[in-house]
Amino acid sequence: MTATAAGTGTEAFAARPVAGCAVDAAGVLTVDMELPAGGAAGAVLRLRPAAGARATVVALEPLPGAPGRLRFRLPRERVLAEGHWEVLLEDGGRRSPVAAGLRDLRALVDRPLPAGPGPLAVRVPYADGGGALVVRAWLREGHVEAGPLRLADGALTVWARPVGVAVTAGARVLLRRRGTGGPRHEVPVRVDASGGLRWTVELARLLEEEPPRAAYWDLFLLPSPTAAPVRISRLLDDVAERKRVFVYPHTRVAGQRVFPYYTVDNDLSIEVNAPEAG
Amino acid sequence: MKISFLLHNGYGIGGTIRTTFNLAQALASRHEVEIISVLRHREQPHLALDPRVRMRALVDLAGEQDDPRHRRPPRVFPSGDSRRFQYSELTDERIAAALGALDADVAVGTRAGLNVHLALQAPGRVVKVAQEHLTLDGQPSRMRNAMRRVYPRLDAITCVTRADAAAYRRKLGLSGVRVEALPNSVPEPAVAPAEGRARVVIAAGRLHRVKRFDRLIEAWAQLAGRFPAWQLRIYGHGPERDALRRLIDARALNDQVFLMGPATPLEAEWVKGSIAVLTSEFEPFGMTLVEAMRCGLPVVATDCPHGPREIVADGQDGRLVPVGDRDALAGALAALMADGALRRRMGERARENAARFDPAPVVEHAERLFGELLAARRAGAPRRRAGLLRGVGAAVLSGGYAVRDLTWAAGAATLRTARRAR
Repeated sequence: MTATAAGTGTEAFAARPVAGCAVDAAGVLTVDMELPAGGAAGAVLRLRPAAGARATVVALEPLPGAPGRLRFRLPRERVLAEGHWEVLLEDGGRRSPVAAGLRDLRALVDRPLPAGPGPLAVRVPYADGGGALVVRAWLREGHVEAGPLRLADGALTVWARPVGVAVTAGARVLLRRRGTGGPRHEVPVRVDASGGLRWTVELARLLEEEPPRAAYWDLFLLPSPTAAPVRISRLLDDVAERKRVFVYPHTRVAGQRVFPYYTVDNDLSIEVNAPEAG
Repeated sequence: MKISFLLHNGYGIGGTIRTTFNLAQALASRHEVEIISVLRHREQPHLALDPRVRMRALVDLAGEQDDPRHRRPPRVFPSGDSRRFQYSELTDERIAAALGALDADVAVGTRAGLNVHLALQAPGRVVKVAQEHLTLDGQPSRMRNAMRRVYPRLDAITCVTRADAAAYRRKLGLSGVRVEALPNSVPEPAVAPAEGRARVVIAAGRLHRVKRFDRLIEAWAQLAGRFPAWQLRIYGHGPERDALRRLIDARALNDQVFLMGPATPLEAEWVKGSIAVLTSEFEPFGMTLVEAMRCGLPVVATDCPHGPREIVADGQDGRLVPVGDRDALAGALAALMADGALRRRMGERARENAARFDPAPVVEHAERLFGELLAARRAGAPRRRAGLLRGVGAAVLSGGYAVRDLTWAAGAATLRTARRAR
């Protein structure tokens, strides 16, 4: 068509290279894209830093690819600190983000619990709000994989499985109100024959203060009387942010709304006396 | 050939957009193809578009939402089209100008309201093809009346199913207008096919009442106890979201049924599952069925008008169940959930059978149709005005506008007549 055609038409097409990626069952991340017009020397992951912190950068390993394509790999042994890692192309001193294309994450879905020594490392690539390819990483010394959850009769029952944690008969779950110096509660944990965990929280216990106040309670496993607390989360699938996907109804306890939820970090928490959703 | 598609909004997601992109991209290897998107609400299209296909927008909502002309109702875009509330005097004006200045050989409209514009306003020498992605029976009577009046000016109508094409031939009485079934096309997925092992069932579509995801969730409630490790993922967004969320809460399916939100590209999501399900009570085509089948998933679908039964071979690559029969739906899902070998066998068959929806055969069909229509138009026909215009170079533009003004006037008169007739 000619430029005389009517309208306010513009012909912008995505200039950013589009990168596809995959994570295999062993946790190896591969990134694959067309060689951009300007070329590229390499690719890195850059941790989105907390305010004031210095950005950490991890180089991706180049892989032989088809002509005209670029391929990279992040080996399993390369440790990523917990957080959001942007995939950036590197050319000379310049780093530029790539658009997230097809993400083949099927190996992360409906998979057995990871076994073996060492901390748990999880990587889930996702597209951020602007469409850039970002890798969400978790790194946990020990881990408790939550789910399912059940709310009934003013109590929350959680089924969970420990990963890389030795659970003793005296294991308990710690509920800690967020904020310094907040109250704590402990509840006993039942361990079934296959190592699965189950505990029940009477939600009225989280409302003991007068007057009642809005609060967020974080959940930890105390695997033994002396062990450090282990955060209870849900990390072992393809869902980088489950807050709006794994949603639970609220229950009313003493007139207050109480419901379990997953945080933006996919950790399990309980919200009390929530204001109307917003 | 130079081919222009006229599309409601190429920057969104949805079946019509996906299939238009697929066809345009497939045609672009041998033809000059553009997409004219009437509306635009974001910088980049949601769906990736092959750079050989040019897309331009006529009204940019980011800057023109508040244009006073965009607040006044349209005069040309018909009231029978359900998108009319998004059209205005401004869209009338821009579409008329774009069509008047069109130098394409073939112009393809992609919804009824735009097909009315096309019939009334595209220059005489341009072959005018109306694609109907909805069914004739699903159109309100005032839209069908507008079609009867205006569509005789078209060269062809394509429907996405044989059943709908038959309805157009039988009910509109448009002699001289070719009516053909041209299915939507879905390219070979860029990912390896599903393996049939993951205990995940997937549905996708706009969260709209017609998709009856509520019935799917009710059927799942029957299966949850027997298949506790299975999950149902529903992709898409839409007005039913909150109602579906409440239903999931009420049935205590929060750890098995998930509203995943929209996802593009969907093929990466299909291959995470091992069964696809569709529970619509009405489905003009059923793009998601074809997409899932191309990814190697067996499908369970309601036997609703018109798409599913022209896509699914019941018992071979999936199952068709009666609309509204919860037990049949749950039973068909359970049979596949319980039998991995059956899933893999039907999934393999689904992949073979869905190859007929590859862009290659579909685009060949479209090319043949467009080519024949173009040849017919050039061979005969009282198109002298258009013929003259082609030869006069610099005069083309003003000539184009003159033609446009005439067709506009004719169109407005036709519509006034149509309105009086009601």
